[in-house]
Amino acid sequence: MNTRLKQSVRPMRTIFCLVPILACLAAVQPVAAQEADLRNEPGYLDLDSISEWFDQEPWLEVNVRGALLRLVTEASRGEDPELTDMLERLKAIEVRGYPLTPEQFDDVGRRTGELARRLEELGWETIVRVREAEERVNIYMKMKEDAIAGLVVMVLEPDEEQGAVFVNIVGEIDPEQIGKLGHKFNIDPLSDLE
Amino acid sequence: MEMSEFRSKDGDRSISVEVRWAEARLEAFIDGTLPDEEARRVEYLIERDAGLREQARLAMVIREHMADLAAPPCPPEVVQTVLATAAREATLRDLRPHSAPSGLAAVTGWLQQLRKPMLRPALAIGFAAALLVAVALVLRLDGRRVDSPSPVLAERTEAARPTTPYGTEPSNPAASGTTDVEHPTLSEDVARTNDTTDSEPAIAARIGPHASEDDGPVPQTESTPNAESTHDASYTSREVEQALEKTRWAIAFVSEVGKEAGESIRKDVLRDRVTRPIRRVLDTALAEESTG
Repeated sequence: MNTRLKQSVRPMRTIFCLVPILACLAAVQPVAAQEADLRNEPGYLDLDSISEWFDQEPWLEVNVRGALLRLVTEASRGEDPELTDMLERLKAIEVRGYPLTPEQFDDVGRRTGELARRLEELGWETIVRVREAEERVNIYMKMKEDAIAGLVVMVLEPDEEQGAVFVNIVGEIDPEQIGKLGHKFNIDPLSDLE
Repeated sequence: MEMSEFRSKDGDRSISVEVRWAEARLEAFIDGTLPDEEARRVEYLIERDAGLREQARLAMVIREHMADLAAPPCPPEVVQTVLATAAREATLRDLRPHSAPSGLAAVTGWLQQLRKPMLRPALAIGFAAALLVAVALVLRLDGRRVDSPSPVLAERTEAARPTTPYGTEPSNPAASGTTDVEHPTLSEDVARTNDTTDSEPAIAARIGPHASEDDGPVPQTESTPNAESTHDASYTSREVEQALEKTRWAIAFVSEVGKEAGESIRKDVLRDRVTRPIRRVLDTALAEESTG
């Protein structure tokens, strides 16, 4: 082949090889951008910051968002269309569970109360607030244009195995749907799946 | 309300999950490529589940039949055609003029190069990739125009902030509707306990976007990496299945909490503070009506 022609074709081939790679890098949102998108959601609560309240590692951690949420949605499609329908409208499901000793109960309860007040100041609506001697429950909902954009559930119970559970569901939520689906599912400990 | 008293609503759910897990590994089990522990588990499940046992039997039958199939020979005319094409292309390359093209001829020559079969896929891929880049850039630019991001909830401990007794009704009950984006005063640095000057512990919860740059740097709390994190863009089927089970668990938990909270409210609040007083008032009014 002519040398000059070869020289002109080689860089073109290089470019054609590089462009698809660059396109993939640009098309797939980097993790930081995905995190930023979730933080922009009005119904989002950063549960990672709650870990500072506890000395122990969480016994339960659920972070279903982004690509994993889409995969989970597809995985449920064949067997539970109602669950799929709900998941399609969600942006994230996050759960943290921490052991809670009786000694920690009051302190964590106070911090939870402060967090709840801050949520209210930011427009979250109180749905349930239960205070008993050994149990505290807070359920908050964030509305956006007459639709529910986020749900936060905080449950405290002095239990050294499963004391405190914090749940944040982000996206368009139908509480009635959660209630119907929840009756079908099992909430035995998840350790068997690990 | 006892969290520990939650019970399974569907006793067969765990078995069907196991069976689906085994189905995904059936072919590897038949081929003998599963790790020992997984193979034992699959074998155990095959013994317990008739449907799975039937699938395993079918897979083995198919495997045996496939092994008996002979590889078809390549037709002789295919070999001849491939060799002839290669020879022709080699001849065409050798016959090209050796003088360097210039100007329009060079461009024309380059375009003719692009029409070569080898470069056509590259050209198509390049064009598609450029289109993807443009679409991705447009989408990302649109995504950055957030309608109503809620302000960051990040609060430094304030010495002047009064400690509200836990459970006191907030003075300003939450207003419904969209959050007010223009609340920069709510965007403050996340405080660590060792930075506080007050005994009140710092609240480090974030809601919405990061603090604006005007409010100073905001320490980031990294999401805890785990198998389900978006840091890993590829997930195994087992991870997806685990995530699905955790999702179901979360939904069931929220549902159960809501139900038991409702029962508690009905029993402890409504019955004593609403229903009974109303009934007493009605009884009194009806009694007076009947005597009057």
